[in-house]
Amino acid sequence: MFWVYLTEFVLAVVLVAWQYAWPTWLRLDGQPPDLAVVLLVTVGLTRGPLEGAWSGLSTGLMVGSLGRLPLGGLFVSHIGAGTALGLLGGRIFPNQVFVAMLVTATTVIAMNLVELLFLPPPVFVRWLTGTLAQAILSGLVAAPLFAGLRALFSYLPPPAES
Amino acid sequence: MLLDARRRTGLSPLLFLVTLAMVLTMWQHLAGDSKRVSLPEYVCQMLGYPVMSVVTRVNEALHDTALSVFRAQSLAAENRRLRQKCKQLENETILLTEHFRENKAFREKLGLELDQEVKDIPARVIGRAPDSQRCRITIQALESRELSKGDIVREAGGLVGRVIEVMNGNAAQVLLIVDAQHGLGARDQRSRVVGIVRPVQHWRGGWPDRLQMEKLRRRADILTGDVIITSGEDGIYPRSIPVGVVEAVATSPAYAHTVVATIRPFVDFERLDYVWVVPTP
Repeated sequence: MFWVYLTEFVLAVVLVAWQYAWPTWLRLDGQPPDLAVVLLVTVGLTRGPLEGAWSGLSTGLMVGSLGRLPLGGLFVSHIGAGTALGLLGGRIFPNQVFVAMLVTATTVIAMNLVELLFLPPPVFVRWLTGTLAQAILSGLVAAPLFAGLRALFSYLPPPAES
Repeated sequence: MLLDARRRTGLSPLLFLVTLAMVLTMWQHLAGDSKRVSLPEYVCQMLGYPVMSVVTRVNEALHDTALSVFRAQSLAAENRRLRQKCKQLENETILLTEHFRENKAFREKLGLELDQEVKDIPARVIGRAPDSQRCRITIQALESRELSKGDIVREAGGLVGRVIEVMNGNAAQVLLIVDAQHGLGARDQRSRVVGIVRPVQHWRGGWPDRLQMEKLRRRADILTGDVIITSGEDGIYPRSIPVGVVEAVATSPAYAHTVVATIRPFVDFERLDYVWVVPTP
C-alpha cells in the first residue's frame, strides 16, 4: 500500500503546484480551479475514506506550504472533506463524471465556508463571488481530470478497507 | 503504511492522520515563532517549486504559440508601433542620462548623499495566490543571487510590491501594492504633494486594479493625468519609483475637508510574467 499513498502524495504535489501556477487568462473572475478538491473528490469517491483523509492531509500541507498559510484550518477542511467524500463514495455513483463535477463544485463551496471561520476575508462580497466562480470553474475542470485520475487509479491495488 | 502505523501506535489510521496533522500544525507555529519555515513545509516547497516553474513555462509557450497563430496580423502591426516607440525611448534615454550625470555632478558639489547603484535581479513569476483575498505572487530569481526579505519588486512599468518572505534562497513571496493590507508613501511628481496610497477594494472577483491616494487636503494641487511616484518617506520603498497615473480626483466620502485621488497603476498585476528585484542595501 506504500506505493498507493506515495502516488496520491505525488498527485497532490503536482495538482496543487499546477493550481498555484494556473495561467491568469484561464481564470474565471480571477480565480483558478481548486485542483486539490478535484483530487479529494476523485480519491474519496473511488478509493474510500482512509485514502481520502490521506489525500486531504497531503493537499492541505501542499496548499499551506506553497501559499504560506496556517495549516490548522486547511487540515480541518481538507481532511474533513476527504473523509466525508470517502464515506459518500458507496452511497452515490462514484463512477459518473457528472456526479463528480457536482460534488466538486459543492465541496469547493463547503470548504471555503469552513476556511472562512479560520481566515476571515477583508471584503465579504468579493469572497462570495470568488467562491462561486471557483466552484463553477472547478466543476468544469473536474470532468477531464476525474476521468483521467479514475483511469490512473484503476491500475492501483484495491483500497485496504475494502 | 497507515496500517503499519496503527499496529505500532495502537491508534486507528484516521486518528493517526489527525495526530499527524496536529503535529505538523504545531511544528509550523513553533517554526513561525522563530521566523523560520518548518522542515515539512520546506520539503513541500522544494517539491512544489520545480513543478510550478515547469507549468509556468509550458503555459507561456502555449499562450505565445496561440497568440502567434491567431493574432499574427495585429502582432505585426504592434511590432512596428513598438519599434517606433523604442527609437523614441532610446532618444529620451540619452537625454535622461545627460540629466542624470548633471544631477550627480551637482549633488557631489553640494555634498549631498548619492544614490547607491545596485544591480537588479531578474525574476520569473511562478505562482499566484489562488484566491482574490490575498494579493501575493511567488517569484523565482533567474540568477543565482539570493533574495532577501524587504527587497523591492518592480516591473518595467512601475512598482509591484515587496518581498515578505524568502522561501529557499532564490524563491520568495511578494506582497503586491494592491493587497488590502498594503500602504505606501507617495508623491505627485508634478506638484510634489505627498499622501498615502492604498488599494481600492471592489466587490468583483480578481485583484483590485485601482489605487487611491488619501490624506490629501481639499486644496491639494493634484490633477487628472499626474504621475504618482514613491516618496521614500515610508521607510520601506526608495523614492521615485513610478506607481501610477491619476485618473480622478474627488472629495473624500469620509472627511469633507480632504480629497481622494484614484490612481491607475502602471503595472497590470493580472499579467505579471517577469519582474526585477531591487536589493535593499
